[in-house]
Amino acid sequence: MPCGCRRPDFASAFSRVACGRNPCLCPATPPAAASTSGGQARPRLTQELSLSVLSSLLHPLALLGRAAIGAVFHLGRYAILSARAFGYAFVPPFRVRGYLKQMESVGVDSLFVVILTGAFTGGVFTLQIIYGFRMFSAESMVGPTVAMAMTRELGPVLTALMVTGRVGSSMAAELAAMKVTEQIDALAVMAAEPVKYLVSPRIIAGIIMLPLLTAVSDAIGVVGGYAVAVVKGLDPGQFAGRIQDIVRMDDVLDGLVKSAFFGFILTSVGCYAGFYCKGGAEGVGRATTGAVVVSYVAILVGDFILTAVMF
Amino acid sequence: MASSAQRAPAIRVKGLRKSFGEAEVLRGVDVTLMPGRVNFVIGKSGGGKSVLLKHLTGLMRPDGGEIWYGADELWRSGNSGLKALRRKMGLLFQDGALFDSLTVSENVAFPAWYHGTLRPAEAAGRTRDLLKELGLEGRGEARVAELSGGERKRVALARALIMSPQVLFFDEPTTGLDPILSTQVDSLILSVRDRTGATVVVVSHDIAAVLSIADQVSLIHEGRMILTGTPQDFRESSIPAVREFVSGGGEGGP
Repeated sequence: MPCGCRRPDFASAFSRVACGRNPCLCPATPPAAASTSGGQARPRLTQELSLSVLSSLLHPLALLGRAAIGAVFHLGRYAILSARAFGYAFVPPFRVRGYLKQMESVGVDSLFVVILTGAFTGGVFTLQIIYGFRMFSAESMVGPTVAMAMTRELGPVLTALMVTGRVGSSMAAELAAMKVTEQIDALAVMAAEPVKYLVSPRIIAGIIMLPLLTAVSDAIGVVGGYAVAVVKGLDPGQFAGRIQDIVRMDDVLDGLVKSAFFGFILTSVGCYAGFYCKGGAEGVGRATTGAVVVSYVAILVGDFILTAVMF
Repeated sequence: MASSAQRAPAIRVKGLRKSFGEAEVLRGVDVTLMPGRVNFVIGKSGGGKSVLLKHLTGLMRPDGGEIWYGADELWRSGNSGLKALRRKMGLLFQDGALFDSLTVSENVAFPAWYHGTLRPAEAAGRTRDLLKELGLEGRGEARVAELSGGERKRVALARALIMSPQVLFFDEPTTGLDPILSTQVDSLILSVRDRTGATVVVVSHDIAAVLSIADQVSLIHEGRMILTGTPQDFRESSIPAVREFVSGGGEGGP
């Protein structure tokens, strides 16, 4: 006879299922419990209590496990989508017009906001450091410090965050709307490859255009810093004089490599969120918000890792 | 139509099964759809007809069973085989699924442009002809957002027809249309069948259309095909679910 004890089923979040094993091997089942009938009430109560305590103790672990499984599922699907998008980018036919259109959307259309952000970032950074540097008579270091901060860190990160807000979110919303209105299914039924047509141009455009935007942001940031420094009474020559000596080409290039990586993150995350969107209008909203939040976090975490590796 | 009845089936579905979690939506669907005919698949909402359509077009992978297009099984020859079969089909989605970033002409010409099967001038000419045939002359440069519901369906039909498909699927073509437009869509389906000789598969719950234009009707009920026959068979069936459908109830058991 199989045992009739109720053991927690780990697969279905601690619902209890019949053990069904003969003999029962459940640790919580006393061997005598199945055979004796007179002294059954007390052991059963103990068993129930111990199972309930065990369930309560393991519940957070179950939640953690479920979250981990979800994270691995999404990461895996994201990796496959990104790899397919990369692969298709090198498979003919190459539809250059689609790539140029996305490069215009990611790059040219973001230029104004990037210039504005770069100028004010350089300006405010100069404002913050100029007083401190004056206390140590280190005014000549203001320019190099601004240039170093812009090229290594502020330019790439702030450009990526701004472009995520502008482009990453719109990519997620556009693809999500296409998904819920069956336009992506329509592409598939026409034997067109939706990943090649929709995702590849966006990711490649992000990788190419983010370094270019970052270069603009770096330059404008230094100009903004220069303008503020001059207004605050710093000699123009003093600001610019030592930049060339201190800021190396590697600083600039490493910043641009980081920004290419950020370009990949913000476009691929935006495309992933849109491409696998579920639900109607609510799903589109969720995809957009999710894309921005995940991109921001991934950019900041990725920035830390890349900075630790590169510099 | 008499000769087409003796031909090999265009699509043969065998034992198709699909579950979503605990819910078993398709429980072994068997159906044969004949070439050059208007085949209706009907059933109540949630009965599995849209899921069946998604399987027939390769948008969903079944848990079990087979879908044969002539001598080719949909999933047996990999991605390239699936794409080759898809190039022979056209699907008119319920809401058109038109690309709203493109104009009407660009939408219609999209499949030809994507696959490079027609030269640009040819594609433009064919697009013009199709739009003219479907009463959309002069609307080529309109944006999708400017179209009415009926116009969207016609543009979607033109897009489905540009590659001269051998099988044409319609997903609830008359849902949301007024009776006059519904009749126009029905006539359109018949004229497409007559003009192209394509196998037409219509997923619908429009009884009037079933009884007036269908060559073959298949009723799906609770994940199984409970009747496949002519509209006459359908009208005269004694199966309670079919009777309820004919009388407009649509919620009966078999």
